[in-house]
Amino acid sequence: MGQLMPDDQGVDAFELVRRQNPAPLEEYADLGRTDAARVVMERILAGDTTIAARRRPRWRRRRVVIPVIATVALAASAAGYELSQQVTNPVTIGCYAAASLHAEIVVLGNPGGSYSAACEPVWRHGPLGYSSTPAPLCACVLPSGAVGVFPDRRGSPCAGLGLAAAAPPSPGTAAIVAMAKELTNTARSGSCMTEAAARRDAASAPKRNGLGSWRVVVDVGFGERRSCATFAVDPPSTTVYLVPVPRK
Amino acid sequence: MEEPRLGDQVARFEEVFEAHDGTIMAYLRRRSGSDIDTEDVAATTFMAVWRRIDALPAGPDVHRWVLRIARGNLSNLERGRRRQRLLWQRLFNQLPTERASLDVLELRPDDGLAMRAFVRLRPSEREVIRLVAWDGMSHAEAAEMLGCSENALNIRLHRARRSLQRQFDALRSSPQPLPSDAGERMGSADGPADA
Repeated sequence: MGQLMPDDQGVDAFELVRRQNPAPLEEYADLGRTDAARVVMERILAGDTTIAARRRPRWRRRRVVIPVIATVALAASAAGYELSQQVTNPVTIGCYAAASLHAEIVVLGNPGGSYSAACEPVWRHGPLGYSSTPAPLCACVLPSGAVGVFPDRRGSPCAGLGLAAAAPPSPGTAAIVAMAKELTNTARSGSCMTEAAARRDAASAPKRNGLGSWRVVVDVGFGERRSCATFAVDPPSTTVYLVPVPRK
Repeated sequence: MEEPRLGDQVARFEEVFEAHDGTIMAYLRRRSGSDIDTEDVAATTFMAVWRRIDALPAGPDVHRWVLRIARGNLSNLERGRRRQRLLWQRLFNQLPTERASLDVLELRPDDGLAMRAFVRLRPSEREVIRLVAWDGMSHAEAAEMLGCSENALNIRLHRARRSLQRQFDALRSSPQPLPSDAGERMGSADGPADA
């Protein structure tokens, strides 16, 4: 079970790269208090735009682009019937600020239950810029197989985006979400979950949740610096990854 | 009433600049490979901070807010560079010569091979490793920077580390001399984000 990645002499390329940080923070920490930095700051306050006169970058709204790994472009029929399909990657939910794949997005862990209901607190408490629930929210299946929830102001946001509506969670989908939540809670419950304990949990969790057998892959890098474990669940490949993290 | 308000804005900007200029410069330097580009993008970033000083968030969110602006400006710079390269290619029917921004020959053998393996990765793979290994971000912070879930970040990091190890092992088993006009750069934070 699991794949260990450093070569047979134990040389971890990631650790070697980490040591070659071209700009260690300790060398830059007090840069903002130097005389040269003071000059730059004064010029900014004076409205001097010649600091960066060689370029005039235009600030753009940050976008999140969902890569297309499966084609699910479906159009609504003339009768308005919206095709629906199951979500294949239910672990996270993307709450979109508008009916557009380029809108601002807040990504949540799926708490279980209705996909749209999961995004309502995001609207109500303001991360998407609103203080109350907007028009009804509509869950669609993104090209990656994950869930995107969009405000439904003009009807059929999924069809308008060329996406299928998300079918309600099936028992299988609900089981995956339950397993992901269980593993996340386990990893966060103490100050450090050991690799051995994580392996046992990752091996038994799928069966406990009625999911059959899943692969367990151990990420490279468990060692003195990163001796604790967390999990990553990848439903499309039915894999649970054990990821090393520093002690809290 | 205008002057006290302006004074308050200036005080806030000075505080943000002094506290974050160093970390922003370090973040940019790890990606731009050039001191000139680092200083330009840092200055542009803080110019944007000053223009939007009234929207400054509170507490620990300030650093993330400034970092996002820096990241956007760096992406703009890289897009401009790519357009220039394509124009050059169209005009002269060849890509411009670029030198590797890190002299790997001066490092210890394994360190040099690790960095050569690093520059061979896809831009999105390099970026996730940079965020965790060099910027010192937690997985949650790195996920927020990339606009994805922590779960997705963990998967991407796993794949990036695996790719890095494979490249490193391949170089170790059959080392090749570094060409004098190596066209690979350490910069670029490109790559789409997954949910």
